[in-house]
Amino acid sequence: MSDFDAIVVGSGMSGGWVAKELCERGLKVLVLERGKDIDPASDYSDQTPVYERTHLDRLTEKERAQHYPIQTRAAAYAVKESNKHLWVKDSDHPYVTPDDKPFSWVRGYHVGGRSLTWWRASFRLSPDDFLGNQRDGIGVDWPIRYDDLAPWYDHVERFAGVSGSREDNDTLPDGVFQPAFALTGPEEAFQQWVAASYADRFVTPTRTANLTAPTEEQQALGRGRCQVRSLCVHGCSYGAYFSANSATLPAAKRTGNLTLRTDAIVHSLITDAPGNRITGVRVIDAKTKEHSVFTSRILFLNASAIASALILLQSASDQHPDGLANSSDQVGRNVMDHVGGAYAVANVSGFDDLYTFGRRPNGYYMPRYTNVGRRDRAFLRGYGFQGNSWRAGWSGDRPGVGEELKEKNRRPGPWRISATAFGEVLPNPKNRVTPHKTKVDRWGLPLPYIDCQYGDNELALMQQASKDIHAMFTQAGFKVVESSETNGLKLWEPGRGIHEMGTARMGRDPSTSVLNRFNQAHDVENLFITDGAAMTSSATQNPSLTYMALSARAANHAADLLEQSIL
Amino acid sequence: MTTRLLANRREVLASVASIIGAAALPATALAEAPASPIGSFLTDQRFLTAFCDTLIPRGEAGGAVAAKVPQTFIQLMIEWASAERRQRFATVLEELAEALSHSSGKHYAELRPAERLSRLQALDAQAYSSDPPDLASGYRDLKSLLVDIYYLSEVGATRELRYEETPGRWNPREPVTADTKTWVV
Repeated sequence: MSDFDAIVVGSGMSGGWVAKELCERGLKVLVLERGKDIDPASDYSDQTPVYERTHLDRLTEKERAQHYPIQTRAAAYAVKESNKHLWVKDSDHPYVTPDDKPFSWVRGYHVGGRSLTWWRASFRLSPDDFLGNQRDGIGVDWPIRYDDLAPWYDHVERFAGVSGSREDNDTLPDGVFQPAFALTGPEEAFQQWVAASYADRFVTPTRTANLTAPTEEQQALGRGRCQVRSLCVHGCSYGAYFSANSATLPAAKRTGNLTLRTDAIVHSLITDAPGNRITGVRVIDAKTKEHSVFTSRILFLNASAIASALILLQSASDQHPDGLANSSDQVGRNVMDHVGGAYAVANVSGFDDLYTFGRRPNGYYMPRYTNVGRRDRAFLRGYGFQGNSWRAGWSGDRPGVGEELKEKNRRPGPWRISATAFGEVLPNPKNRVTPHKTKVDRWGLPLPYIDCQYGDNELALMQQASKDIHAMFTQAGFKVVESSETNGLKLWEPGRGIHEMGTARMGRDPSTSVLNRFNQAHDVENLFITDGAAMTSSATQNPSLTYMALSARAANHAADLLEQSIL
Repeated sequence: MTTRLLANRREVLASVASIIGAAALPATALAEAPASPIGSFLTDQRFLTAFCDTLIPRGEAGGAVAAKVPQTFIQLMIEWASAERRQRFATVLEELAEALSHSSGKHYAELRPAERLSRLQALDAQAYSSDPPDLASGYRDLKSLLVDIYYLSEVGATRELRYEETPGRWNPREPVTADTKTWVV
């Protein structure tokens, strides 16, 4: 007799969804979270006025250098003095890379994980995204197609709440949307210019998981309408953006079927004698370092792409000497992210009679337009652009002192528009994470060894993206003030996109992939993985919505198999 | 120059307390202050205050003094800044005090407001010129931080500029009028 019907490792973006779906199917679920619990009353910092924030809400320079050098390198826009507890201390959670291959692993170890601090951009993959690997002969073919996932995209969008604009374009399929945040004047001008200039490009308000018209279901969970504060990285007391904390975990909890255990670091997975089924999980208490074992009928790994792969590799046994579920030797390989580095910022004239009210929590998006449906470029795949616009504000680094300086700062400056490219990273088995052979953390677990670098295709993508956005802004009549074309293109290091994925990919063939079409391990029938590890290709869209859809789909499939006594 | 090195953090905190009032410091701050060298940025408080007051004058909303910019700057130097930054700003402040004061023979704080302003205007113009003096980089960094402190204070955010803690709605087409002021965030 197992302790639980299901164990879910990880309480974040995807783990929360698995917990919700399984609990709502009547299963008794244990969620293991390696970090601390979150109490909105004390852990959210969204109710503090800007003028009451300690140290201008900047991390002290010593603390930043000693404890958060990686988190702040990759997420400088989001790591604040007031929310630093929502990010790991790099000094407490080290990992190793080759000296010439930096990797930024940005994380938060607490209930809700990165769902508390994510950018909330929520895009579906396109039908073509599921065909790219097959067409290009790269990696392995996805074992599912868009139509397999479409109803689950509907399902998660309806519950999570995504604001967006319908565009009726297959490169960015429409979904279940709440009203979009309107574009600004310069963005509308750019949208219209793009529509008039290109048949294959379009601009749309960023589809963002912020509630603009909460449903009864969302309100019943205590969630309210977005207050347009753009304080999301501080946590939201209104529950207005989707997080595991505001949505999926409360939904799971209200079933009475959820047990949440914090400070529970997974040491390894335990299998039966033949090694074909997981029987339990060995857990280390983060505070006491005591070991314990929990058992269940099924297990979901949702610890994040790197951590989930490491748990499998740490679970090596006589039956699985290379790690659990790893007969394909693909566990830990094919680390992907989204590559960046191409960008532009431009001044826009003609809108000086307009200003904004409110702080919109997102911007605009231009989806991929290269190699869609066919190969039309020298490189493979493509890139999308995420952008924003604003009126330049006050500055201390401008000429003038005294009343002259104050007067300059009192009046809104010129409109600016920006765009940053997010390029598709190809799966490469050489890009991998493995347990370090000698170095261990304070709990005795091997440090991650992340060996990952971008190749010629990623560079070619960004070179073209850099040219494209500079040309588009210029030809649209904007005056580029800064860009990767003028400043020099510098690729982001892997991990910088904070979209790491691909370390236990889905596929049809057990000899070349880890998971089947329902995210079920080929080798271990009661093991499912639905975090970023499952991704067969990276596409160009922010991936969280796809993790959610895969999680809900796999959880319901697993529940079906349990009901049918197949598992 | 009237500078002197403050021996340790305890002494700095005591100086801060004299400016902002001991009640503004955490009760345990003085008792817990470790004895470690921190530089000389507090050695000329009169200059710092006069410099801030000239850079960001009172006006209708209140300026740097009303917003307690000097005090917050000192607090940031103690609690937030790296030792390198602290030392750099200490040096910048010393050099500025000298650059702005020496030709008249009077301390900068003792000059008439109009004279303080004209001297700072001249220095600022040089700092943003095509041939800036060595001091320009440090001056611009210091100026930026002081201006940040001002606009992110309650006076700067809510009286000098505009701040809406909870906007509640999004309008990307708000008409600009003669009274429209910059949002602080």
